[in-house]
Amino acid sequence: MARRGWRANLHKHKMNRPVDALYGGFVNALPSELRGLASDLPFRLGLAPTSGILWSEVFSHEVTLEAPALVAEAFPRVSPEVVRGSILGHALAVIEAFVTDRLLDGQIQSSPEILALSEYLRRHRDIVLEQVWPGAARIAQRSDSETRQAISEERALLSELGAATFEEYQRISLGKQSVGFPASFALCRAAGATESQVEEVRRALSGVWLGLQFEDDAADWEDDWKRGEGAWAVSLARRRLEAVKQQRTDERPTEPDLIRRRVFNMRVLYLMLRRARHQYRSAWRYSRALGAGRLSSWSLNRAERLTTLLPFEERHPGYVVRARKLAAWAAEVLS
Amino acid sequence: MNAPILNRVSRDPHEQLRRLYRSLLEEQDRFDEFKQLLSQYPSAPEGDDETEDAKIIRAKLNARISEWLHGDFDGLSAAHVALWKGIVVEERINVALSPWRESNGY
Repeated sequence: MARRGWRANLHKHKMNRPVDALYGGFVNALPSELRGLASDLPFRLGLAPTSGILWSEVFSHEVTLEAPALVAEAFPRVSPEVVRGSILGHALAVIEAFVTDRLLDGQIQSSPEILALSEYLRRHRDIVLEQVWPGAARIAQRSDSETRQAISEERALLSELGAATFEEYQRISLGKQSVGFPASFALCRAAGATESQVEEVRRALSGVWLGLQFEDDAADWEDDWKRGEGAWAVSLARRRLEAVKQQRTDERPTEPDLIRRRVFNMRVLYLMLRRARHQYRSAWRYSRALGAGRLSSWSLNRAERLTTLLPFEERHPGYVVRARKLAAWAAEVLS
Repeated sequence: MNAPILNRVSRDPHEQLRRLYRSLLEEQDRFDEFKQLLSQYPSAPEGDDETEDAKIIRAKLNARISEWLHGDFDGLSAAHVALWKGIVVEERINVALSPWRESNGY
């Protein structure tokens, strides 16, 4: 759900990770009239503040766009071509999901060019994944549907300010993250992974995607709410409060508002972060069992970060939201 | 015995900012008031003197921060308030620093 504004971190240099070169190759193979749009996609999608930002610079870590590279550490004999193909297939799937999401919720305007680019993203993803492992394209297409269905379900629930349980939240969130699995599964199959290894990858990635999603949904709930799309924190709080029927569905309180106090009083943000930590710990356990070292240490690091943060959120509800809002300021004046 | 040491530490401008930061993180009301006062601060064209209205807002902001930090605060300059307003209220950032997102949160 969460779609964030801009913040700064301490990465001051261009990173040039594999995804940049691979995406560059995809762009160069496009019809000339689509290359400008494709090159500038992070900015056009509202994921970068200016033109010329590389995909590797959009996210604060490599997991989001290059997960298969981290999974590949568990399969040292897999060929570099397979790893590159799975990274590109994964990145294109994730990028295409952003395009679709932005189109569906009107954050970007539909045009023949963006629709054509979306089609190219999907088609090229299918081609590269099919080369990694025959049959992977079909799985990727199925994951498209699952992601879209989950996004629709989420919008329907949140826009009506419906009450939600944590179980519903987790189920829908996992559905939204469906596109994050097929490329890594294709890599596993190409590497000759056993069924239990594939299952470990599935559980490790589930932990990663859910951990990130829960954390973002907690930190950015006010922005989601202000956009008028509803927010998971609000729906979860309503469920916990058991006062849904007394709420007007068109309510849009101003600060300091009833909704925020309810979210704080119900400790929903704390519970979301605790669930995120649980997911990161699960990712850590399964990636460690696999032998995916970087994924394992990244997950452990995320879990430990939350262990530090949780007591503050418990004592000072909304701490995580304010920390994110002040992050750019803190980076500027406290570093 | 420790009072002079504590006093010395609190006069460190960087430490004062850290304490302000922690104070804002810990209290929603303070955070809202801080943001509201920053948003009231009129933006002046570069090089122009601070207007009387702006001085009043800045004095109010400094007084509130001083209260939050129990008096240990030297006050913010006009340049600081303008910079912070840009970052905190208008969400302008130094784009030389990499922007980042945490997840594929569709």
